[in-house]
Amino acid sequence: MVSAREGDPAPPPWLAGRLAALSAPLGAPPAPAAGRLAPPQGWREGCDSLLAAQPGLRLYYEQRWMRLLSAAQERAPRLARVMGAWRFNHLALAHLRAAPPPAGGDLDEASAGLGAVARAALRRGLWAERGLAGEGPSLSALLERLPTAHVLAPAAPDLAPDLAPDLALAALRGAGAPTRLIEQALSVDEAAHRALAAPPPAPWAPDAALLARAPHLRLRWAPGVSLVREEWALVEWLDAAEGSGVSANAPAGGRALSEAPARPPALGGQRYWALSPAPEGLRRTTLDPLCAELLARWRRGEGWGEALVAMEARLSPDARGRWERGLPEWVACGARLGWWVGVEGG
Amino acid sequence: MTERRALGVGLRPELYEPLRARLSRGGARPLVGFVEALAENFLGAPRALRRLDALAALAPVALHCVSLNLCGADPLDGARLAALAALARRVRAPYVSDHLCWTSLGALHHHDLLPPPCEAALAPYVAARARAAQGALGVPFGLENVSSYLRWPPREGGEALSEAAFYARVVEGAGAHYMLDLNNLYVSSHNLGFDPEEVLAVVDWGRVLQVHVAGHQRHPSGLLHDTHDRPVCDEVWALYRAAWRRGGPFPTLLEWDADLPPFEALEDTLARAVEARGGW
Repeated sequence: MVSAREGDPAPPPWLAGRLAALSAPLGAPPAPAAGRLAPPQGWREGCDSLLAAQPGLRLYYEQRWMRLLSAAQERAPRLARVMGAWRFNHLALAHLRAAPPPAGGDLDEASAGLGAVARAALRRGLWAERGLAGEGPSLSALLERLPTAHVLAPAAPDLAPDLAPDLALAALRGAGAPTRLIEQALSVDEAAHRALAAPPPAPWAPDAALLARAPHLRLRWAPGVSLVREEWALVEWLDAAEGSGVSANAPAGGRALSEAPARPPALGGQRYWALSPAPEGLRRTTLDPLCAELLARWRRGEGWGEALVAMEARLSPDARGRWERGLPEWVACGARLGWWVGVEGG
Repeated sequence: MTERRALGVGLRPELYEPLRARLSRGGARPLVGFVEALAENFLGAPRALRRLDALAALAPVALHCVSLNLCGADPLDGARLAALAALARRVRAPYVSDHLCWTSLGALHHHDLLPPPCEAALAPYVAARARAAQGALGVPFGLENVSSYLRWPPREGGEALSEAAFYARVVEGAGAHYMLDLNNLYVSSHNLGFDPEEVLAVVDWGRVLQVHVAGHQRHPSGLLHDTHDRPVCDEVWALYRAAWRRGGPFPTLLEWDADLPPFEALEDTLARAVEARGGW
């Protein structure tokens, strides 16, 4: 028998059943347990007793789940450090329970969506724990309203291991970090990942005629460019960590990541960055606050004039004049940095 | 084509620069004569691919795969094979390899190289898939023996084969090649209790594309665990000497994937391979 693909025969009729006897226990998500990977109760049920009795089954089990968790740590290295290894692993497990990885072999893809699970849990934690009912506002609105909030740590965590949101929330509580730090670590990790995953932008150099129309241009952003704001030195945090031998590329087993939560230096203010793809990897460009706001407004689709009007209260007439005169060079500079790759409609 | 006595290393991101520096030095022949790249890391990864192109301009790049799922029950992934074939053409890979294993079942991917039940009835199926893979890839295709941590119980009515017999039946039935991993062989022989020489005895050495050496750890359960993060142990060097006596010369590759030592330590390991076979 030949299946759809030429030369690929149909499998022996017993094969899928045999493989399933090993596949099913390996795929059972671990139960929450501090510091180790514990299979859930009854994980070997349905498995051939001669397979179930062998220590190799547990080794394959731990290897599978540790690879998935290590991939999550690599994708969100700052968040993993802020939370500490095993609390982060519990957050990643909550995600993997909520969204089992696709069948493809790409481990990195298995962690896509981790941020959504974390943000949903943060929002739920901030909202519900303060005795507020209903859906409530977005996480960013809550963080503006509660700037120093922590996800509260209960005296005795009440885990409901089959409920991914509870698992995520308990993991985030355990980190003991300000909620804004957790959210910013996640945002920087996501921005860095977007930049590294995007193809390096095709070079684009706007000509003089185009630059003369700079105030009227709608710039087309390159894929993978993000603007981030930080109140802790998160963007550069891993530079020091890598220098001390703590690599973002934790090997399978997560040995390079400390159990204890770590804290990046607090900045005592806000700092802004553009993270963008570059031929050599990730390009990081610091931005002054007004520049960051202007870029953010452009990204939202506001025109140059519209953005300046909105920012007028913070711009002196002199400053506004400088911005207007410098705009063509500014557009050219962004093009050199690979932030945009052309203009809309052109 | 890779020279039969050549020595190589498995490519890791940390090794790009030392490899590029050594391979572009010119003059005396560098110890490292080829590299092996994990093919899946370069599919849809333009930045990594450009770095691989640069290495391919300096030395042969063999491609090693982990996702063809040859012993699995699901159809072969034709799109994946086509992408791998394109990658092989792009870097002018002398050969491509994958493992004698299964990696997924239905929607569940295990991100691991799981051992197949070594049954007579399975061998022709896997051989036909390996033949199809080789045809699609357009270059010689090697099958690597995996490290095993458990033994499949016998199936009622099934004819169990030794690992050696199963391996040979598949490779020969496919008209494919051996990618013999001596560390995996040692690990499996310890864990499952067989004599590794059984495998060396059945290998058709004319069909060996490459031999792998690597390090492993002892798991708390007592099993040997193939981790590629340690020096090659004496027992594996003994197997290497035995293999060279039986079937050398063959290209030799060191896999060291985690807790990487300085590049000089990798070169020292390759020098030890030269010593084990009694000279270059």
